[in-house]
Amino acid sequence: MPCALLGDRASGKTTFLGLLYSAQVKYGTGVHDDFRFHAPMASLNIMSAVYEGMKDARFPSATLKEEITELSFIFGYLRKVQGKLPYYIRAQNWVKPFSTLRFSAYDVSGEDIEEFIETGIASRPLIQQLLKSVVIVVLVDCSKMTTDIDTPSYKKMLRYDSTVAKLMVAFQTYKKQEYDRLKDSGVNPDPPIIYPAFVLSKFDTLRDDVLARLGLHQGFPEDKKARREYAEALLRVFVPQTLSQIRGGKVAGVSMDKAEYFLSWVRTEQQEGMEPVGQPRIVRTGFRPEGGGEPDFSYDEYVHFIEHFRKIANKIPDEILEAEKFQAQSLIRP
Amino acid sequence: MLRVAIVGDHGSGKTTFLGLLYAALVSSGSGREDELRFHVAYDSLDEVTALFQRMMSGGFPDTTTKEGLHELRVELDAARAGHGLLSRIGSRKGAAGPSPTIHFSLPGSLDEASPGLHQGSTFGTGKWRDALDADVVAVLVDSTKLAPKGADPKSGPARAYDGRVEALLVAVQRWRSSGGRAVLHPVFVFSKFDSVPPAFLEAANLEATPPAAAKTGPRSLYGKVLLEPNLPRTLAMVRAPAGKKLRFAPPSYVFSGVRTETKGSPPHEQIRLRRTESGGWEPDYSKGEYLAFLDEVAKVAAATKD
Repeated sequence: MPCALLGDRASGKTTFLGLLYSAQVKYGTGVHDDFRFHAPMASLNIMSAVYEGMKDARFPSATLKEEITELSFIFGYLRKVQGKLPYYIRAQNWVKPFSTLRFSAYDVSGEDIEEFIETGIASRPLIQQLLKSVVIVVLVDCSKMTTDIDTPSYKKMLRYDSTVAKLMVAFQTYKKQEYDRLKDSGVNPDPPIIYPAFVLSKFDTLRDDVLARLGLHQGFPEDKKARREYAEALLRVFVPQTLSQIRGGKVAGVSMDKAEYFLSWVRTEQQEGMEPVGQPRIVRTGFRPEGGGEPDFSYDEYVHFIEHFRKIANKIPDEILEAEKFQAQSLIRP
Repeated sequence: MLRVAIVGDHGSGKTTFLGLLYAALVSSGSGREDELRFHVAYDSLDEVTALFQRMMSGGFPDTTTKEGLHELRVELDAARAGHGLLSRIGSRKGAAGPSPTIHFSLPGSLDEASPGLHQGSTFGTGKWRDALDADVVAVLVDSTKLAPKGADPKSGPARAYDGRVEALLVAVQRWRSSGGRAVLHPVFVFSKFDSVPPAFLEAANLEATPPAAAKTGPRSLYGKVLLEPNLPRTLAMVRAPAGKKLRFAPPSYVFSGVRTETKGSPPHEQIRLRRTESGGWEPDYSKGEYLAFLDEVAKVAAATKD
């Protein structure tokens, strides 16, 4: 299942992926053993370099960021029934023990996207892959959230809103066209659906005066409905076109109603009374029995994010999984 | 698909009107109440999002935007209830199926159209085809050029414009004589209405603010009082008995205004932004009028059979 990760320049895409990898490592080595993941060698090389850097208190370097074009993980979720079966039945392999999902994140240049937006033609294979995404993860950089209309951040956010809104409509248009094409060829496909996920990145940098202006309290709520309302209150002000086009997806015949919201932060070292000089350093947790020396970040939110994919794995239409299987088979053919 | 042509002279506020219409859609479409949903067609988005960006920063449309923006295709949600607009479309959906698509087009400036069109000819009309085929024609009336009540209609500043609008309607009648939609809904949009001096309205025995959209009778009267000395020929044409093929529906009126301020160096006029209830910003404009216009268009969409 391809997953598109959209984010502005310096919105924290690589850091997000690094922290996701960090969370995968920690969650995948937990005592429950109901989540596993696998990464192809190319992705693993990059992610482990990012991970190592973070464990050494460093944010991903620009050189590393440039190397990323596609990163993929295969998430494996232990099927509930399988976990309860006795060992001798599990050993028969009658049922696949894990339901799997391929999480792929693409780093596509702004020019490629602009070209597609302008021409409507997805000439590059990477763009074609991107458009097939069932999950769209949108990073919204909280450090750029300002209500001061004369600042560059305000204008950047306006531009970002336009770009993401256009991409959302591009995804909807592509999905609808594919759906109509399948229908015309006699197939009876399920109505198209896209699962948007918003990650409020650098959440710790969200300014108090912005929250006060929006009538929001500090801290992200726990309850699902309250999370949604809190996040939408931010999106309504800073990316209103994107929010309205996500809601409008259903009007175009592509449901995008199941949006989920997550936040991401990583604590950085603060020098008392001093302005930070150069690249900030990541704060690391102390060593404990359950692990340590990890970046101090919103781990629970990342677990929540991983678990969100478990739910999607159970909902994805069979034809998408079949198409992926077919694609994989065609790739290994001589 | 319902076709809405937005027509007016150069500088009458056509692009601003479309930009504010999109702003009203975005604001309602992202609202907490979630009572309006819409989808913009992909090929309309590039220009309208650029315009939105510009207006949200206080800028009026520039020449590049004006030249690039020719249309906005919007699908409106049929499922949500609670709003006049949506409940109407909703009632239609049950019978007809998908949400109606509304195609707003900007064929160009009337004062720059071909001389043929100014004489009511349909020959060589090119991009004005959108206006000839329209279900709704939104006629922009620049409120800064309105002549007071009692002024000589033959010498008013809107006289030439009146002739051009009349000629366009004649062209539409000729075009439809061989087929096409039987009804044309005229909507008179008083642009820059906030620039009309109070004394001007007082002299015409009109209140400073037009009656609410729900009060259709007084609102129509208010619009007519303003139009009669300015677009008498156009009004006469719209009120005339139905021809063989084309009938004009009773006109409706929109009073559009956006507040401005002078800023920058050198000083230039900009759109004034105001705080929204949700804590963000939006142009300080007559949002209610735009929602009423959408309501009106939705009403026509509900009544029009494809």
